[in-house]
Amino acid sequence: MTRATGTAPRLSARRAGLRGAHRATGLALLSILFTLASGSCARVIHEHGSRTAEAADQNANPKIVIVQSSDNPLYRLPVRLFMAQAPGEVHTVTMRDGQPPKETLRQIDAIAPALVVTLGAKALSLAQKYISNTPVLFAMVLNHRRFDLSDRPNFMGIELETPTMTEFTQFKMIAPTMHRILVIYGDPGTEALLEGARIELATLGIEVQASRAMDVQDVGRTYAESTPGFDGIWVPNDAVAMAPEAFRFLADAALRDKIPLMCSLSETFAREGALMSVSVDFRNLGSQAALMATRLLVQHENVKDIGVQSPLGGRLVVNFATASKIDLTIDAEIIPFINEIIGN
Amino acid sequence: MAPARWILWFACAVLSATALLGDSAFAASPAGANDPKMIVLYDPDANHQALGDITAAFNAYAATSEARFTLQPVESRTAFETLLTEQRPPFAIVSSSTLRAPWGREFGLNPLLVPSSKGDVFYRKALVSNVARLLTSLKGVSTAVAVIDVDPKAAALDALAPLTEAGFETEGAIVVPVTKDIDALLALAFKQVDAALVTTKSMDVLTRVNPALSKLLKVTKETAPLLRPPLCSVGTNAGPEDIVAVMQLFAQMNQTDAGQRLMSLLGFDAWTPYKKSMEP
Repeated sequence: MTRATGTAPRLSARRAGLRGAHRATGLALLSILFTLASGSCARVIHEHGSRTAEAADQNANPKIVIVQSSDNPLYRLPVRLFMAQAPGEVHTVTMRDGQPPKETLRQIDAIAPALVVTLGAKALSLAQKYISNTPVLFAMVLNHRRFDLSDRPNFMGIELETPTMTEFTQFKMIAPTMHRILVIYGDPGTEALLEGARIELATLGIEVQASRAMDVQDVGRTYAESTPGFDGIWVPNDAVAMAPEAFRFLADAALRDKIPLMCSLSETFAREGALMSVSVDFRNLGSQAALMATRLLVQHENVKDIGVQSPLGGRLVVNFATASKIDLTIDAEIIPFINEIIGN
Repeated sequence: MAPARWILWFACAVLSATALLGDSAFAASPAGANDPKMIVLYDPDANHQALGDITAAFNAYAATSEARFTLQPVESRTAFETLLTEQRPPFAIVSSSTLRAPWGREFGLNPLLVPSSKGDVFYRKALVSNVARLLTSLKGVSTAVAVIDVDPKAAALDALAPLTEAGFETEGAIVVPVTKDIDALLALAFKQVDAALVTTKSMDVLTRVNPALSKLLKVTKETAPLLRPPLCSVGTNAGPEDIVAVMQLFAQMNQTDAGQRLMSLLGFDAWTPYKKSMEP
């Protein structure tokens, strides 16, 4: 299974960026990410009620429980698609604010599932703490690496971050001539991502020119001092570059200099004026989780062999109004390959 | 034949049929006389993520015409059948497999026009695998296919049909529905699935954009040419004047900006009169 290259920013850094989201440009993205990430703070406090979950049920119609961290509407689409394809009888359990974990565990126990699917950080946290034997498939967790699952052989999952190659294969469909991209980042953790990106993007004929800003306020200076010659700007999964003030600056600069601005992680950036974004496709996610469940429960593959996977494909959103402003003509043949067009 | 001439020719043919068969041959649809005429779009190979854009673009284009038509996309065969049964729309744009299927024939779909891209009214699909893998059947093989999502299992069976017709064993395939062909190819290149069924054009695009990735993949089987989704009249729901109006509307689509935008979303650049010889 492939894994995304690099490391996502730590939660603390991301939440620093969140504060400005509601204050300035109102990037809905960040509130969504907050919803996905906030479960990490709500650690389950009850230690009792040790788990004796059953091992994978190998019968013809195994039971599967989906544990949702909340009733977040973002879960509905992947849940619906998973249920339509899953190899067994699917039940859902939704965690409620203030509800003790033992109540959620009681509901899971009553079903005696062969597989537990967790959506969101809060549900993963619960599973990490209490489920030691039953296979667990986690999804929709921002930066899952903050949960140390290395010694948990019963855990597999789907990352929320799309691989660089997935993003740029799609970015190049829209802006095929770019050969040198500028990346301004602030989180030292992003350097590993950029190191991988340099190698991968070289195969696409793209050179990565990276400059580190000390903080959000430093992004303008960093941009001004960057070596000229880049023909695109990439905002990767980095807390500083994705902070509303930094994003706004980069979006304005890209418009002024008539170059494409490409963003990872959320389509909200394309809605807010970036040329395009690639993010996890929640429709694909439901299918991918169902495939992983099939591999486990029908094909009897090992959890470790299935592993933690990159999301399948990526949702490409393109802002045609921005394309027009930067005088970019998008090949008509490519239009059917775009997931969503904005501002046409 | 120039568009104006074949519209005139077709109008004469329709009016002649009316004269011969009487008005009863063209029963009125349940909608009121002044209501917009519905054109149902059901094409499992369409860009379903863009259905909202396609509908908006069609309605923007149709608004430039005196004839009043509205596009109604549906995302499943069940929804398509229900709509045709309950609302009796005069027109439908359907995949050629729907046209040929016994259940599709029950609706009396009569093809009028076929879309074309650079003069080609056909497209092809390819079963793609990793370059080192020899695939002789899809039994137990995870296969990514871009299909509509509301009924993925049924849609997947429909999607595999051209491959089955091409003589490839598809029984037992583990179909993985994805939203677009590039997702299927990326999933295959990253070894998340064992195979992908995509249009040959999608492979061409991947080869152009990311030749290194495309070198990891190979086409195992190509389907026979598939007719692009024709515009059809449905049974006797369309009156002769409706048929003339809709054909005029579609024939002129590539002559306005709004029409060209619509066609680019649909992935073609012109409409051509349907001929029986187009069917394989």
